Amino acid sequence: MPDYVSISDVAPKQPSEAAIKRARTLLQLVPATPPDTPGNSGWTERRRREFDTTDMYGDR
Amino acid sequence: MNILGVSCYYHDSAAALVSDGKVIAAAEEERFTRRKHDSGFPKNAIRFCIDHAGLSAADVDLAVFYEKPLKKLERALVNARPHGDRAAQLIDWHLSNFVHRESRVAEDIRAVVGRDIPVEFCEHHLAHAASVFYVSPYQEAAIVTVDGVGEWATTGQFIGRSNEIEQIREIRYPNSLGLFYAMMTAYLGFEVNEGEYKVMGLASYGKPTFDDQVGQLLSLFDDGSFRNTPEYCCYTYDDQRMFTDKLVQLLGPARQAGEQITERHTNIAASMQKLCEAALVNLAKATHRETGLSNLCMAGGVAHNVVANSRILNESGFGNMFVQPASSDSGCSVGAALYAHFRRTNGTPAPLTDYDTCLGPSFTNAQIEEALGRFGAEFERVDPGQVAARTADLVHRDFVVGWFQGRMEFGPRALGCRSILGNACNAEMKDILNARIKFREEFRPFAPAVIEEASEDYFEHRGKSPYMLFCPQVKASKKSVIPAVTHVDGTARVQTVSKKLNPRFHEMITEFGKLSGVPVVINTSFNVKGEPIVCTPDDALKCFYGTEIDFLVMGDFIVSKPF
Repeated sequence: MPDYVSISDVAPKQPSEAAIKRARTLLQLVPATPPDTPGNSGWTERRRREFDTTDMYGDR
Repeated sequence: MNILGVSCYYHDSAAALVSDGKVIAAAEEERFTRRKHDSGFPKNAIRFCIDHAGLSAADVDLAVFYEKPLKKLERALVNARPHGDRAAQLIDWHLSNFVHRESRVAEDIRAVVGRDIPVEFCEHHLAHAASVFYVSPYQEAAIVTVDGVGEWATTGQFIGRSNEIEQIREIRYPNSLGLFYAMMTAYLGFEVNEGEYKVMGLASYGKPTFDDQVGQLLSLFDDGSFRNTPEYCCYTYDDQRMFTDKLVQLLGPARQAGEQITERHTNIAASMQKLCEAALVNLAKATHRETGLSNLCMAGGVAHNVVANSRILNESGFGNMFVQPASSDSGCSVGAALYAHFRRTNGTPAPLTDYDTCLGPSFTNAQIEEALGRFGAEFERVDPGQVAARTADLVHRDFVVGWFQGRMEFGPRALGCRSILGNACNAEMKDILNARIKFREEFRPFAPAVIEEASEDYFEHRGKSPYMLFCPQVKASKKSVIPAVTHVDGTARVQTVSKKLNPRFHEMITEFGKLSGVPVVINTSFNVKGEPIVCTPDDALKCFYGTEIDFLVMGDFIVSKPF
């Protein structure tokens, strides 16, 4: 059994003011209502074969 | 190509390593930290995967995270925002989670690997879909993924062909079968992401007399989709409670944790489980109509609803069904890495007839003996050829046996590597195990492990069930033969054990069959209530000495207690 290393938490205990500000700016940018499909269905069509894995967002 | 898959920061953090398209290692972080459902960064699991494969930092080519954090944050903010101050805490939590943890996950992975490797992000339901299709026995299959929520999706419908996965459509938050089940788990006084199994077991004791009321919570449509009724759920804007007062008006007072379970609670659980099964069968039937395929793959936390799985197998129209044994979020670490591999290499996956989910650490006899010495244990070393027969004899004499062999399982079920074994023919064994060993609720059932060759003699299940993911009826003539594993409704969450996947466990059950005439044993996970399944010999010895387990069979050693 290897002796598992313990790394210290990389993230700071408290977010910086700048980080909070960036996140709150993001909050202002997102739409106010969720995307939805009306009618007697819960499905959202999303036919695709290619999925982008390169970033944290991708498309909707 | 060596690809690391990582899932964390929600529940059941895990890491997996895929080398040239094959899953080499995978483990949940909870097994190392001993914190059940640990959601923290899986540094120990990552280290294990790299060490097990004998790799250095330079050998790891890529890491893939199991979701898209920014897209998930968007969903959380969009849904909470209209609720203003009521959602403030939830918004703060999501923002803090993103700023502190998910936005930094690439740096954290690189810190543990020890090299500046590329880090990518795979959509959550795509990771679920890949986790099951690429390890399935099929070249072509419909894939259905169902869980609480990923980024926006809570349910996905895909087709897998060779190395390609094509998405058809998805159901989006807040419409969610997983969150519906979680909400009702909370209403019934159990812990969310932990108590769902208990509610499923509890449902068998009730009668579905609340169908009319529970039916108001979820609308099912002919196209296989569903919608949750928003007036009853507040998980979009409240971080303290999942359901509204309107649900309490509909069903009566919510049960508090620890409160006595009444007939009303069991009946509500029965109606809720029935509705969940109906929704899943409806979804699978529609998927079968849409795709016209004969094979179905399922993953996502809801795919651990074994009662529903058996109904899907029998009623959906699919001829064959394969469920990822680590269907909850931990399995996404496997899926994210596999998807990245096949996307990059354009290689063709070889369908697996016997996917082995025992992907965790193993220990040599020398390592076990060293631990036994440190604990001052009373033990006997047995000829390797005698371990199975000696264990079978102990189980046949109604002793409870801890069974620690080979690589630890990946996923929530113990499958004969980190198990507690008992005599399935002894009707009292269920109560003994619940009260003296597992310290858990008396209503919870135990699962049987049967040798694959004899499965159809005992259970109404076609095909194999190597991962305990189906819950068929016990054959009428056998219910009195294996009372300890026959649930109150006549079902059992069966594991079929093959000689190929787990030869020593297969031999042990075969030997038990020679003694008892019944090749079926109780197989429950090697842990006590509230703790993760044991990982190391030390964990096993602590559990052994902390409970009334009679013997511990670990590698080639039989450990006893002074009587």
